[in-house]
Amino acid sequence: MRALRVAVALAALMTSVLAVSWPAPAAMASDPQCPSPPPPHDGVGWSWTPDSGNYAYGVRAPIKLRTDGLLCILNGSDTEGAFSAVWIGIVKQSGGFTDIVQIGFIHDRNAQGVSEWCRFWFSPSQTTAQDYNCGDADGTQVYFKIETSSGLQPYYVISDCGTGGDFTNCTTMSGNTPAWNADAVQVASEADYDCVIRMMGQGSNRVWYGNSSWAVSIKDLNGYSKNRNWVAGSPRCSSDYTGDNAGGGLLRTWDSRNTS
Amino acid sequence: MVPLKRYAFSGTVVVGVLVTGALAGCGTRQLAHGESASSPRNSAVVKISGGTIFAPAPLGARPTLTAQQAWAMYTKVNTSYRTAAIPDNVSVQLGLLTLPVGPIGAGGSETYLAHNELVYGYSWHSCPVFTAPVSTIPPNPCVEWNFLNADTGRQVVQTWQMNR
Repeated sequence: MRALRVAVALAALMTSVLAVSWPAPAAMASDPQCPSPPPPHDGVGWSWTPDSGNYAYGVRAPIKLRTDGLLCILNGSDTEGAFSAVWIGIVKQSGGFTDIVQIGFIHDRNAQGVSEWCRFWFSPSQTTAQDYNCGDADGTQVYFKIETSSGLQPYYVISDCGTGGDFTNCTTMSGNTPAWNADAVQVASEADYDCVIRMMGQGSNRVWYGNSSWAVSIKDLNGYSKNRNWVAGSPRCSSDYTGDNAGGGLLRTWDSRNTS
Repeated sequence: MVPLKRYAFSGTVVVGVLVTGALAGCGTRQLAHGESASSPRNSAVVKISGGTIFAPAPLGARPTLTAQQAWAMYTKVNTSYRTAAIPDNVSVQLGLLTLPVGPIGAGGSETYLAHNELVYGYSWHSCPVFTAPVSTIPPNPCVEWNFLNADTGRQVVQTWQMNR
């Protein structure tokens, strides 16, 4: 069994905090204080690594948004925004986790410091998350995919295929990351400020990756298949960050602290 | 603490000046109440991240919406905002947004999500979100931008300004 990649991908190295004083943004009264310095990222998810000679050419899945969870209140000296995100992605494998392309939903703060939920994508050239389409309603299912383009130099093409129920009407968000020789697929719910932040989803209303019509499917040399051997990662916040594999490419995550 | 710069909305267009350390948005709103369709124009090229550029709008640009109207339309979609008024901590400028996708067009040509699209750029103080773990936070002014199409109010992208 290949080594788990989710924990590596989700574990950020300790950062050096710049001694810059900023006013803290307005925040919900119930949000906890963010720890300082910020701890590594954490999350719950799954990884699939192709066998030798095979590649991860793509991944696609509808993700069902849950507009819940809690962020934390930044200190005046914090330099990293608080967020949680649910996504599908392809990671670079060589030399351990070094890069990723991803797309999904993100929970962060708007200009007034209030929680908002947006779609987002990320590619290495961007450095930060790229939010868009902020304002989807709870329960919205968006069909996301990442595929490798054809040609002498293949690129990872990150696409949003909307809410129409399939992957036929897609908008390309990014296509400038050269495909890696060794890659793997990941599906995850992630947060920074480790465990202080409540991720999206609750036990009775989970974040879904895949549905009864379109399971999470991975494209390799043989094409797309939902029948993949997912390897689950172990979050540090194991008492609260929860996920389960319902089988057949249906994956779910939630935070046990969220209630209606 | 790094001193904040305020934009000088003199109407002068300075094309091609990179403002890599610009701290736009970390201050009070630049627009007066009841502003007209002639919104303050972006006066310098701002490098956002990953090749995204916010450039000055042509002097003859006439958006369909005012900055307030575009924001109000946006808050009907993003209901996390409690009112339709532009928040006091947000600055806004009219400009041209270019957001490249990559060389995946015909024959390897560059494709775009936005290419010289006339937008309002709303900016405020906010430190960036890194969904991919970083070993060291890259230098950045902690400025977040929300770009809305100046004719329709549609959100194009919301992201952070990075120094590169």
